[in-house]
Amino acid sequence: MSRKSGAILYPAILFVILLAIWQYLSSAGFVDPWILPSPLKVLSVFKEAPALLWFHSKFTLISTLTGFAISIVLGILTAILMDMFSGIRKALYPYLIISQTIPIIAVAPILIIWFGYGISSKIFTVVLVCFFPIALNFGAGLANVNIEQIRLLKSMGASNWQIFRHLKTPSALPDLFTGLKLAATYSVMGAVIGEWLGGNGGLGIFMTRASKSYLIHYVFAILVVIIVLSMALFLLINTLERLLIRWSVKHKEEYLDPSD
Amino acid sequence: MTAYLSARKINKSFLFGGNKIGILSELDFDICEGEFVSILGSSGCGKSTLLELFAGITRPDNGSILLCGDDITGQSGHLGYMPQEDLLFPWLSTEQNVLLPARIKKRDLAQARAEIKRLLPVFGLENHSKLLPYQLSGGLKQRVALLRTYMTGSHLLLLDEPFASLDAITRLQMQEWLLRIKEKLELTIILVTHDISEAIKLSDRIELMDKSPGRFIKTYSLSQDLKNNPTEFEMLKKEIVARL
Repeated sequence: MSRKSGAILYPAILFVILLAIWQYLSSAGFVDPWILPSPLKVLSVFKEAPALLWFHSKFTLISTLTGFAISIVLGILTAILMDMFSGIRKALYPYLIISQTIPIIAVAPILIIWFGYGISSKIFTVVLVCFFPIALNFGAGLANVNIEQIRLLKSMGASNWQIFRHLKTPSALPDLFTGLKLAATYSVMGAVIGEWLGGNGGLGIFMTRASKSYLIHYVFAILVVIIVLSMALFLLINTLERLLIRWSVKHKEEYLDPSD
Repeated sequence: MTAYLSARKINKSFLFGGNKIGILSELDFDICEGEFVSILGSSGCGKSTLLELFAGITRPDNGSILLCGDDITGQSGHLGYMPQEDLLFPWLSTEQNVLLPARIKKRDLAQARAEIKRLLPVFGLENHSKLLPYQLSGGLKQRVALLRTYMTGSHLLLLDEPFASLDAITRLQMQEWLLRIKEKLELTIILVTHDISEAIKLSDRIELMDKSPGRFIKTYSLSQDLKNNPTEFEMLKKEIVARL
């Protein structure tokens, strides 16, 4: 079996086994349905209320994608500025770290006070979780460019802009994608946390309402939607990475032990 | 014959932990067009620094570097510089890698592409133009790096131990091949190397360098007769070893 098919098959087998155990525990009456609903019960929500799930997913998707897009622009710009001006890097770096030590759940109520119950507070929480991994990883990629390659370009008479365009950017692309993938997995979560505190719609709001109504199978169904959305965004970034920087992916695959 | 490239009274020092250490002192150097000069010296004598000064990557403390009589001290982009590692960009194919100097120098790309197409067979790379660096062997990578150096447009190449990372057999093949390329493309070459046999085999002249601070202590002009005579070859080798 090839490495690639194993990467899909093994987790799939584990998934089926876990689902079967879960279903058995629920239907045999080992666990109360209001604590852990059976997989089939969770699945039934998608039949019962697809319109409601879609209605709330739309809110979450919009704030996630907007926040993600803003984070990409801000993250890339910050990384570039920090790379070009060491003064900016020194000034900003501690605050970037500090921003990550603040629990997002603690800031969310402040954001509601500042931005209200509208979409902007949700977008802001997404930016708060997504910006950092993008800026940090791309910044590290730009900083770690082979100094000998920079000297080589300098010997050809390259300007700083040419070094940035021809060497630093392509060389740091794999790191940028590492940051993007991390951010993609956090982004939906960021939006959901923002929504927990209130608003007109969104999976976070739907989840709070469902849990307050003891509709535990709805909570699980919403979790499934959150996972699917996060995975979809991750896979999108992953596909983009494979298309844009085939040299890096291929390079890594080439040197893997085929017996693994 | 007037010198193609000259260095006059070059001094260069670096700061190490607050102390100024002299690397090169009052150094003079000349090379004529078409000449192949090797610079030999022990580690840390400043051979590589000298090439970097020629390449304009660093500036001398004082002294001047002249190319065909024009002062190019501290200016980059005039000469073809090839460091020890191939430093090929892993995201670029052979063709794109060797096109890089033309992009940096904002030359006409269509013209540069045509030139590369003509040169790929000369460098034995005609079947490798679309490959990425990781798909090439060590010897091929050095050929790509050398073609990239040539594509800087300079006929004077500064080679800093270009074959040091190659295995012995590939190294011998590359030495033979370098001599053929030099004749065919009418190159002038300054080679920095640790390998005494390589220097004797390839060069018209060897400049021996002393360290702390670096300066030239002895010049050997090499005839074809000497290179073809194994006894003389070995004797010269021994003499150089004794002086280093």
